[in-house]
Amino acid sequence: MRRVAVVGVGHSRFGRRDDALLEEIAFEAFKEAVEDTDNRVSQKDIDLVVVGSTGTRHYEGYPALPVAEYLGLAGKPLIRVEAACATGSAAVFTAYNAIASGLADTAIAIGVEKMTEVDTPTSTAVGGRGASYLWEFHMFGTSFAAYYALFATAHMARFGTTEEDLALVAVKNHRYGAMNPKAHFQREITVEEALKSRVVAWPLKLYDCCPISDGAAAVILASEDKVRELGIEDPVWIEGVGVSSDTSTLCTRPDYVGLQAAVRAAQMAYKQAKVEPKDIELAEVHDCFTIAEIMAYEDLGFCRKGEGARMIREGETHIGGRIPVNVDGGLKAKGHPLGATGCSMVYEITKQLRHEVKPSSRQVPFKKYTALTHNVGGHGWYAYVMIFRR
Amino acid sequence: MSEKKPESVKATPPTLPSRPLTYRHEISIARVKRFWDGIKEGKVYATKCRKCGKLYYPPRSDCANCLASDVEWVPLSSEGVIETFTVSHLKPQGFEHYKEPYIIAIVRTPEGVKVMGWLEGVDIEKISVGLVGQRVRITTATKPDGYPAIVFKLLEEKGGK
Repeated sequence: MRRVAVVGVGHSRFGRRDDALLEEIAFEAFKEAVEDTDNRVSQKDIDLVVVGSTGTRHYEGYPALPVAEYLGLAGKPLIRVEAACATGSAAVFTAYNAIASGLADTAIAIGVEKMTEVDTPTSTAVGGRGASYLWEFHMFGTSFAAYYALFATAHMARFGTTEEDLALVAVKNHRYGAMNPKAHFQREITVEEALKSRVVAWPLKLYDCCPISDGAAAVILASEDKVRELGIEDPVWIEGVGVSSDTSTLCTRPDYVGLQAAVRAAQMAYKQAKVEPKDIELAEVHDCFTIAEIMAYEDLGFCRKGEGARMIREGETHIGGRIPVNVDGGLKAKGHPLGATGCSMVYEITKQLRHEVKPSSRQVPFKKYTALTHNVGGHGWYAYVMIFRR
Repeated sequence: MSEKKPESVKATPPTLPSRPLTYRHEISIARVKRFWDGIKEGKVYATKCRKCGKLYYPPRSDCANCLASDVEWVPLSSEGVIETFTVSHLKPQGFEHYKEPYIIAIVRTPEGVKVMGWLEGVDIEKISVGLVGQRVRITTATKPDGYPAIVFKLLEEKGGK
């Protein structure tokens, strides 16, 4: 397998984007990604276009070509991928595979989603179908908040995790979101505000939930030969990729305190990259709900199962802590446009590993220059863990 | 069935309203009809593979373990233990007319499978993680709108009350 480098990343502003069409938001991310290569990569260099978009809420039901054409990429090999909330990582994975296998020298993953053009009950119903329709949503109207709340209750009952612990995750991620000009929410919150916010699906409250957002992010990948040809020095390399899946209904899971798919994906990625959890200096994890971040600490091996709440209580995942997590605001404050999220995680890791984060108060210090992304689709249906090094 | 049509979202102009799109599927349940009939009879059915013996809930007509397509319909016990639950305050499209909030729980049955259902008869104001581990009766219902449901009811109160 050939080595694969990240040579360009771009990111639109996340949030309620009434000001732009789906393809216009994708354009913002694409243009920035091309400029991020110092314009060494242009459309003509790109051998494969992968569009990551669930296409479930925006008016353009088959978004790959409308997006690719708008970016000047019509005529290229083009594929659209979907893995629910992990769609962006599925796009990066597909582009990575094409380069690792020798099929392509340069490939782009563009994650884009427009989610705010429909009303919340519609979005909730479409989201609820990101689990088993027939055996879950049909009878019980289960929303995504409800699915993750089922995990939160079980975690609280078994390990004594509290609603305050969940609030601490929201406070941390809002703190960093307030420092990220591309985040949906750029406002700090307090534990009291989080605890007093209205209940969405007990024990989860409004501030435990990521917003419904629009946005796009783009990642340009290249082979080692292409990196040399482009004259790019010291890029960020993808050193390990782990992908797994799980059952489609929660009823068929052994417990509700972790995601088996995430554990398996992490083990695959660590093995390929030849690193251990203790080597990771920064993580972007899938905090669609605050409990998901606490379970991610455990599933990724940053602590033992059941100790996730202790990590947030002791500040271990803040900048300056043992493993900073989601210092761009995470899904919680930055927003979660489904197709864009996985690409957005790679954007943040790349900028961090290059010391290009603005403002620099958000920059994480590195010794080993090793970081990871953890992107989950559905209620644990899919998990992608990728390890990056520079 | 009285579902409300989706409303347009409040957005900052200029915006263009799209042509509305409504889906209503007729779901092909022929091979799992026993389950849906069971709900009407007050029973929750699982399937058991006649070849390898694997028990499935949710039920299915084909065995992923041995690839046989010969299953036996097995009614589950009418009692179980709460593994986890949530109180949902959200009303997705299709559930607008439901009284909120409602409790969704996952219950383990003596057969070793788990069933999702609505937990009824519990005071929402007094909800706590103490419900986990409590025993419930597993029943079924047809909601006033005609949709089927699995309903749990607490068998006994314990702990702190």
